[in-house]
Amino acid sequence: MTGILEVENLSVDYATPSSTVHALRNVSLTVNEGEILSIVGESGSGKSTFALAVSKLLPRNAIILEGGKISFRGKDLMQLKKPQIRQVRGTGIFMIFQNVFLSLNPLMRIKRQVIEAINVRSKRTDEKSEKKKEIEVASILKSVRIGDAEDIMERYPHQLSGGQNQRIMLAMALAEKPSLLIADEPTTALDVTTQAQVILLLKEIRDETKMSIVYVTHDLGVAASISDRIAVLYGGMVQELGPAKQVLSDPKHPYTLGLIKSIPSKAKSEGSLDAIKGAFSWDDVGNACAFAARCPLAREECRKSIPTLNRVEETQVRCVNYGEKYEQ
Amino acid sequence: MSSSTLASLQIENAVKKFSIGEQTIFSRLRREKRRYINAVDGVTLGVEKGESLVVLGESGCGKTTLGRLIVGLEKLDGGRISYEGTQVKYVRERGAVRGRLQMVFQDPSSSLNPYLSVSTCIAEPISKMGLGKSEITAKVSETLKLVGMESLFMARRTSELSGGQKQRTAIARALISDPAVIVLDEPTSSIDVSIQAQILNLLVEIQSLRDLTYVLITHDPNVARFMADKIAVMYLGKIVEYGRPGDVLKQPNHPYTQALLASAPKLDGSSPEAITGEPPSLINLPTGCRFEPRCPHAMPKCREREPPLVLRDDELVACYLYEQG
Repeated sequence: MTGILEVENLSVDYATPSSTVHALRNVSLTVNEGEILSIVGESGSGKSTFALAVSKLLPRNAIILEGGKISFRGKDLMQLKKPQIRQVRGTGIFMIFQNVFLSLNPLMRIKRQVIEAINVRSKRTDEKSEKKKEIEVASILKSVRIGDAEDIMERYPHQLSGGQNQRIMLAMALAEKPSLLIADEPTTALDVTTQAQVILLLKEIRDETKMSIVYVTHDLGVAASISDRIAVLYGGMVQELGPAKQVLSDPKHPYTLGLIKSIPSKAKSEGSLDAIKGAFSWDDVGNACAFAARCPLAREECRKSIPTLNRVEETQVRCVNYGEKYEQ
Repeated sequence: MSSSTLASLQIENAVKKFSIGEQTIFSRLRREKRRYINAVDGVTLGVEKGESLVVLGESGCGKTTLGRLIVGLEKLDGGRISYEGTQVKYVRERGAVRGRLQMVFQDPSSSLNPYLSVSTCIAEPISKMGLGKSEITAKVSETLKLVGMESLFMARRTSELSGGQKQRTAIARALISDPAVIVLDEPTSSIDVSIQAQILNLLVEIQSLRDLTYVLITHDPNVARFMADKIAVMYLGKIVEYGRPGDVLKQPNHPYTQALLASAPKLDGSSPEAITGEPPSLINLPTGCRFEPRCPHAMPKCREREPPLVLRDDELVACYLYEQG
């Protein structure tokens, strides 16, 4: 099966004055048409680096290592020059960020910002808009469940709430009709009730437009409620990748298992939580399993070499104990 | 909650208003009325010694302001807060008692001075207490041990620490003055998921060791379930539901609590249920129930008058659905 986005063997380093940080190591992921793939990981896992690499928005000190390949609809993104990448961004790949207040222009009315997005699309596809643009803005805003669209579009971003602004970003995405939406922690800054609204909206948009979504998050619960497949990243490597239901109900990597077990599900009177010991450290990333230092099942061989990705049922697991069944 | 028997930490009808917009000489000359945000609007709560009260709510509901009022970091505009019978005063007032009530702030990266060493940072609250140098050092290393950090961290700068270590340092800083009450403002929301359980376990451990009273502020029902002896659900400056976690989280009575719990993402992959709308602005509050514009059960009566907190099965609920008679 060929996907809309195919990433093969992607490795990204960041050059810092004192050392080189291996942010991503040999990541291979495919996103199929109309699929929601969640990238789950904590800070330092490389989840944001992956999102930025696919959108070709990596900072200047990032180095993509030889052998990596990112192809979007069969086009090799690595070979494209800047003007060509601009043609892909927006109508091809659209990225939304965690901090919406930094993504929207504070000095422009909502209407103008959405019209800007509509203009990008109509210029590229040469479609003559029959409707007046303002009517189109209103109808797009309505489709992202903004009531009172005619009033809201005359406002500035600071006059709206975080949830409304995130929906304006989604409206701009819908205006450009991208085939791939990359969302980097889009609901982390929002309240739970607003987060639920955005999650449901994203699912509806996917069902209506067959848009593919890469959803980057640190929250397993959010990943569970939105995604078809989940990729768990740790130390810049894919540790577990599989259908969301399988990854969550039958985790095959000790890290995934640890994450699920550390979510509080009981009262303190019923005993302490099963916490993962220690903390992530860049020192652990190298020629061993990045999780070995914190893993309760770590053996000698885990510290000697990086485990390979093995297939168990529908899931891929990077662990020497890959066939193991764990009790939750 | 009743005012006849006072709890160890007692909050009575606490009110905090923030004025919005600057008052200029022109606005004064024009005799413009000042506008206020009612961040905390008449909250009454009691916490027994050694217990944890969790204040559950979304951003803007006033939970952090309530926490700051408890430790005296904000000045009350009405009502009274007392600890063991003594009134808690605003920190800048004369005779304010410090040290017995402490606070751990939400984001340790911004609440700890990045240029200070861990030991200086932890020792700061007791540095003006007239203790000798060796006494302070002994206390710092004892507290550091209590929060599960090795003594080699003492010389490090706080900016060199990881998120979890920073949070442990912030907890140590609150613990060193031997407080009786600690207000924990979202203690795990800025640290990684894999560290959250460690910190929660640590907090429970220290609580039973030192017989501490906690007021824990969170938006996460899971954290609330684990930490709470009592839960108060807050919406736009008011307590809408109060009770034991087994009741409030398992059978929520107030429509807002129900909506809040239904919208929290669950691991079984079921879609969250969303309620419509956004919280109304605190400046122009609805005259009746504050949740009425978003409530699926709203009745005409809800628009007229605010529902009082009434007792229902060991729980307090502010909703007309449960009104007697």
